[in-house]
Amino acid sequence: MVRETTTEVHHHKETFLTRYIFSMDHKVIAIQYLITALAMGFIGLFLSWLMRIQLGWSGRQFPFLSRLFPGGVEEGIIKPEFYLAMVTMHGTIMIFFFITAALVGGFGNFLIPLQIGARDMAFPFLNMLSYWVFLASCIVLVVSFFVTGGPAAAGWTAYPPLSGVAEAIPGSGLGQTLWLLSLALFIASSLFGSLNYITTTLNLRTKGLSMGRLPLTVWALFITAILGLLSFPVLLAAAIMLLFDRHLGTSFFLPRLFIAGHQAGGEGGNPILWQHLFWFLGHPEVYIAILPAMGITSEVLATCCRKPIFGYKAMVLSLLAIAFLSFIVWGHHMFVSGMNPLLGTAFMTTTLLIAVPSAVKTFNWLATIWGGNIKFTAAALFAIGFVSVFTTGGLTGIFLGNPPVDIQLHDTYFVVAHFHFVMGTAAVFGIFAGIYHWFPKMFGRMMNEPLAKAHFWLTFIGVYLIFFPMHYLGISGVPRRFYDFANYDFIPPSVSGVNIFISIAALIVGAAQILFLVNFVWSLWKGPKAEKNPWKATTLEWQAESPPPHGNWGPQLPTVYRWAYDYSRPDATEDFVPQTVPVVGAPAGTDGGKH
Amino acid sequence: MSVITEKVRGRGPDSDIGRGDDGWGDSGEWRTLPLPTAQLGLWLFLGALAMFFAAFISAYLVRLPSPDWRSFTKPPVLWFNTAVLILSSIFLHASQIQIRKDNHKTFLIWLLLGTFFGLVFLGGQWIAWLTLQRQGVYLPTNPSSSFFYVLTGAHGVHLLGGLILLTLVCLRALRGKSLHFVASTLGLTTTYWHFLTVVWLALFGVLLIG
Repeated sequence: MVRETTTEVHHHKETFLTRYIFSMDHKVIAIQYLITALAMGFIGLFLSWLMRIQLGWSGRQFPFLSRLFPGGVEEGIIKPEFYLAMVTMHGTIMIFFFITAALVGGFGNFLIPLQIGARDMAFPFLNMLSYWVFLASCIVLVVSFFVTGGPAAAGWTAYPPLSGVAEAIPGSGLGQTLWLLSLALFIASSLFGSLNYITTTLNLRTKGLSMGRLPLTVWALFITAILGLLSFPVLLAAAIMLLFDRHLGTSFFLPRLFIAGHQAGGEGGNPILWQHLFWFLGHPEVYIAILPAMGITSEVLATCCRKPIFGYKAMVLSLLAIAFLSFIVWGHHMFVSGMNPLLGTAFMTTTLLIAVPSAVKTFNWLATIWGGNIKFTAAALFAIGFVSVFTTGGLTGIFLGNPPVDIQLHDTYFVVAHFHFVMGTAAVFGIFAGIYHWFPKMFGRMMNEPLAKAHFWLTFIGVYLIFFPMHYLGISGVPRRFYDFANYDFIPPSVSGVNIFISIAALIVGAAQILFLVNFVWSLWKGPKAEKNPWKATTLEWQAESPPPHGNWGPQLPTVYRWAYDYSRPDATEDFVPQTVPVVGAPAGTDGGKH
Repeated sequence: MSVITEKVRGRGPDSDIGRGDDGWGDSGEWRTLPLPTAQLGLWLFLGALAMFFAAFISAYLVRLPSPDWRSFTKPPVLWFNTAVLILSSIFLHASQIQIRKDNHKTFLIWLLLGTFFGLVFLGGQWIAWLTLQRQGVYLPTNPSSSFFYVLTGAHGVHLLGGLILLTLVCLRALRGKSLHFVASTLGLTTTYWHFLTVVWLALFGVLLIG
């Protein structure tokens, strides 16, 4: 397709409303996504505090909680059904509305057009729609805290029959319906986003920017968008069927059930069918959450170590391999569902295969750090932290991918430890690395580095104190989702000590996030002005103003002459060469002397 | 429309191991897809939609062998509907060919026919639902009927979207709006329409075995 490198910059009149609220500018939409996601993240964090209060000090009265949640807390003690609702909402909010929204909606929108030298997304209106539908889904979910029966309580996986029969638990009523509606809206918003990210990456790259020269962030976001495009519609179909089961008397998932002597639910439905459909999305979803964080880590590590990313091609191929494999491993969530052992073995094989591309990535990151002239910025620390927590969590994944081990550890705190490391904290570290790295470009101001580093160390040490002991809880057979652990013969009494320890660590780490919040808000107005390229990075966004104007570039789109990682070239005077710098003796359009 | 392939070499004579800019890492070949942006977006959307219907079909096939499944006679009008939908696809295709030849009149006839047949298909589906109701086969009667209503409903809703787009195209063409605009919208809508025809054939096929 013929495109001009010089295009007219449109200067249509912008009012406050079209500029900041109903904006079609990808940067504004990115910031809207990011801030909404952070707000949701703090709600999710707060819910985890309440859960830890219950698990650490079960039975103790906290009168202020009764005032906060009159429906869910009685005489200062959290009710069991409210605890389940918090487990559900914490998972749902963190996975979809914080991690996915911040990484894909936030960084996807911000970085893709800027790093490929485009003026905006391919479909700006659809992009705006994506954010507003996402906001609607957030509102529906948050409103469900205030309906009769409280929010959904069937877990973020919403397994029927608990999620299918309104009278099962209080949260199975209106709360569950709103949960399904909210997810349906989220899926629509994600679809609009994916269409944009893929089309933009394929069709709007600037002159000279071949796919093989893309920064790894764009590769990761591009592949993530493909995953979302193909997996979310499956959950939408399942959610529609579950809504029909709940409200229109069908029996897709609901077997014949008796609650307190009378028949409830359906007739001969298949709850396992929901599990298959859910995890067909659910497993790609955890990669949707982690792949962009991998891209950000690669980008930040190369910049801060002043070295080319090690094994660029292997990095791209391993992203593709992980994405492909993520579609054929969903059964490893269902080893105890009565699955045919032969099928279980097949899912085990594909699952363990994922360790290969994951290890390729890990070793490439280490090789990138190795011998680098490392600048320990806060972003670099979080990127290195990402590699650490991802590896820790990834290794326990190898245990859990084996049915014989999983059958023992299934639904214990070992699993909680596993996914909080490999997906939860790893993705969050990716978000923090990204924010500390690109904040100057987003807002034109620098964040406070010492405060950011304090935030890193408290969070990094803290998450190990929280989640590492959970492995031991899991091995001793402590089940997840339980409201309290007293009065069970199979749970050793020593567990309560560990739980108090974890709860204290969780409260401290939660409080440490206030450092980030203060830094973020303070820097928005008071941070020192950022120059164009404060980290001396090579990619295109650092050639634009900080923050970039509407349309990103001046009258001329940038032209790319080299790949994204020309750091510390022996033949260059500085230790980085931006992608826009022509190769000496090899003007655009000619061979650079090789071959 | 042509694809720009520009060689822009960007490496010096040195080479570090792990630099990764050998081969396609830095081939400098710059290529966008030979597909206009709107069409690419549509094809991606169809990919998502295919997954949506694939999920329904696989759920149907998993639920099918369960002991509580009771088959019912499918309304014969479905055969008629299927023929009508295929014809509407063919008419729209013909209309597209005519628009490329700049035959305003024939283009409009085919377009109106295709749109009308689309409407007839939806009406026919409605009649199929009414027939079932008269037989006492409702949405919650049995998983077989639940799937029948949900699958035909999901398809019908998407077809209705296509029909609305086609109606807009018809109105614009009748009002003599710029043929270029009509052609591009019609092109996208027809692709979507063909896709839904293929989806219907798949759905009809699996519904017949239940």
